Amino acid sequence: MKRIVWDMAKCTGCRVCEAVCSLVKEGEFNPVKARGKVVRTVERSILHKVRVTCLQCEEPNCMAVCPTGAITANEEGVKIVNEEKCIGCKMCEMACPVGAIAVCAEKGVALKCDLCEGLEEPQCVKYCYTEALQHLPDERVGITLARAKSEKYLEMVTKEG
Amino acid sequence: MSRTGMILRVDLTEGKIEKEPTSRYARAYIGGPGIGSRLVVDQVPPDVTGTDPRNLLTINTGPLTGTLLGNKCDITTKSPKITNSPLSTASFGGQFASEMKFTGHDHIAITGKAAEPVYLFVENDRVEIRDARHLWGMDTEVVQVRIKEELKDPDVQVACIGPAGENQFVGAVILHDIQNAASQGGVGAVMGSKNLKAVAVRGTKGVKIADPEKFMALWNRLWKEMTTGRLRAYVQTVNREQLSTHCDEYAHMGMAQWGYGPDASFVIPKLKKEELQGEFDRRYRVGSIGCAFCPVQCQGNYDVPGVGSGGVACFVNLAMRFGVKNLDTKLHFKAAERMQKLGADTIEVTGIAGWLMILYQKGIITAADTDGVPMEWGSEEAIMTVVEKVCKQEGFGKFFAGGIAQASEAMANGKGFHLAYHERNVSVPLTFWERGATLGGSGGTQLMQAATQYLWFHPPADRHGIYRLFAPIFGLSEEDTLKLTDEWLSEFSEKHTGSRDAWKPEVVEGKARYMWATENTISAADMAGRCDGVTTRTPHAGCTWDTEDTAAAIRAVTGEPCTTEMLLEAIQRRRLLEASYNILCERINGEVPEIPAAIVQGSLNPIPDGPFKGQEWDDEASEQVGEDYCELRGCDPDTGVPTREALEKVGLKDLADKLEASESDDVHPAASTPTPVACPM
Repeated sequence: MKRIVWDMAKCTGCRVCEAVCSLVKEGEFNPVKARGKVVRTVERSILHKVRVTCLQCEEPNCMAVCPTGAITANEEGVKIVNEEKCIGCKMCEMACPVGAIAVCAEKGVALKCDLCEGLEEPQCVKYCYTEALQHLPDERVGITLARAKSEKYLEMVTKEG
Repeated sequence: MSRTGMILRVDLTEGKIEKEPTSRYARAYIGGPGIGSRLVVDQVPPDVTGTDPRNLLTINTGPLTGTLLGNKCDITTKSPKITNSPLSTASFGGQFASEMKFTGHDHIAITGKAAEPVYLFVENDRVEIRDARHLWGMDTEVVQVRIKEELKDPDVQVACIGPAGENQFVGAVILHDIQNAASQGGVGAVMGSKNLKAVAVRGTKGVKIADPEKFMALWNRLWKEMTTGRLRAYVQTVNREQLSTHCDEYAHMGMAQWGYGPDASFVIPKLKKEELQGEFDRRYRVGSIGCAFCPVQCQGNYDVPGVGSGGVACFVNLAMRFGVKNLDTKLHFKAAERMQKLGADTIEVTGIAGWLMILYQKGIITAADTDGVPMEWGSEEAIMTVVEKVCKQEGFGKFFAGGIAQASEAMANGKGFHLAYHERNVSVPLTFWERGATLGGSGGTQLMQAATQYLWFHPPADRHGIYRLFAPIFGLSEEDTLKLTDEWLSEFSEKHTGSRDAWKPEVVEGKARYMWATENTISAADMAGRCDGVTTRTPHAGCTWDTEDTAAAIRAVTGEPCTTEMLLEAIQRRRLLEASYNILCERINGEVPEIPAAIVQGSLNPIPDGPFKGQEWDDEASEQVGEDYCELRGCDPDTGVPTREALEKVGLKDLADKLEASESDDVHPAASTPTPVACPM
């Protein structure tokens, strides 16, 4: 299957991905309803950011704990919430190891990334200006991340002063 | 769908909180500073000064704020700094503007003065005035952290003042996050005068889009231009090369040509590699910062061991260089970072430092006048002393509480008065004024500022600077890139004036209309809550987003039938409203002073070198353009006062009556009752 890969070094923390996500999925701009979130922390006037979204676990806790079977994997292995079946119990929220699924108070159902099922590619990836987000097949994820990290390392060791 | 947002009204004297629907004002004034100005005009009599408790501080988002096409808000209030207390607008964005919009409030209007320091907390519908006695005195970095801790929510967004604002220094800013500052007009002093330390917002309501398909079509067009089209060079330049070697050359050239104010004798030292901006950026940049939902992220985030950490944009550095004649980027960063923490405007403070240094060189002041610190050119000790003392209002810093105009009269028995480099008490960085000796660089910068009286006008970037950064990105020679960017200027010029040449510095024909079109595109963006950065304010950067596009975006977001004509009329209404009110302020508070001698003498005429070599300031031409502009806006060409006919045409009969009354006698016009304007649309 394909997954979304995030490169910390390239991400500027602009949150365009959040905005695009909530518009595509809900027809509104609302970070609360975005399936992927940029967690921003400012320490000593330095911005730190981590993008959190569903990593499509092989053995998903959310699926295991869902009491109504609302979360299932489709043919490609993407885990999808059936909003009709979801009762908003929040078990998945507690079980998710990365904080990538949350029950929306307004809708009363769990929202999570489905890699923009039905569209050509995840829209957050399409509109990531610095290409910090990529949509890659499993077998390319490892080497892509290794490449990204080695670039940073190279830069560090070759930097003057 | 129409607007569902509210205007939040807070009276800090009474502790009263009220709300009214934005829709009352939305058709006539769209939003942003359009509505903000109307709120101030309706409530505040012209004789009220900026720091008077009766002044109204408005924080204004627009219909596009919180979407992919808008991320700004504006502070509109009566300026404590600009002579005669006119309306002044200062914008900032960061994460604050969209977060405020998500609370369901489009505007926050704050009047009165709290008995003790407070801060305002808005969480969706809940509004609280909270005790801030324990936060008073904290710098802008610490107070934001403390408020987030206290509210137990790290995603609260805070706009605050530092010690400079608390002390009501007129160069104080309102600061948010790392370095998003609303600086123009001295708005931080207004917050300080109200005993208001901060405004904190947290919202989860979102902005519903009336027509997502139309919205995405507009966004896709812009996206295409930014990624593969003509805008790509501009976006990549501000995104990744904010501080670059180019800026060094630019600053170097500027100083060589224009010196500082009346003193053009400064000899530029040889640039050392480690002092260059490009080198600084390479070594110390840890990331980018900018506004929510904007791919451009136009500011750099730096961590400099032994100095400090913070954000900076190149403009700050330029202002610093011109003012204090020291080329060390690390020192500029150190001073800028300190000013951010203390909550002061870098342009204002460096203007003060530069002025003191001139006085010292000329023997008008000695070290004794500046608490024992000699104001040597570029001295680190001198610069940092000025920053600390002025922002904290200690020692000689107290002279500058009311700004440079007041200080120039008080300090050294007024002997440095003629050397003060300001316009209506606003320090003018040479990056603005270097174009003053021409008919206004690429967009008539000086004319725009003089004729339109818009001190908040951000000047169009110089055409001769930017193309050199674009060349490698477009894969063209510098010469061909200049041709290309000039062609874009001609395109915009032809579209609005019928002439391909109206943008050119020496051309008078069509210049007023060119200025009018540029003013419209900026005002449209402001009123919509959109940054004017990627608009036809700078056609030579490849921007094609014009007033009609802002109108289309407002339609897509709100579902309101906002045509380009309606938006242009709202811009005209805002323009005349502000102009009329500012004239009332002048008539009551005093005349606008002439441009100070230092500024006129400071612009070497004709320009001795560089791309504008040989160009001269032309009084006759500038007068002609001013008159043409007045005609376009419906103002008297001799006095600049809006005519009754023009005012009534946009539903401003109330202002026409007040102007007439203030003309016939010296009776103070009373504040009008807040009634929404009858919109002719």
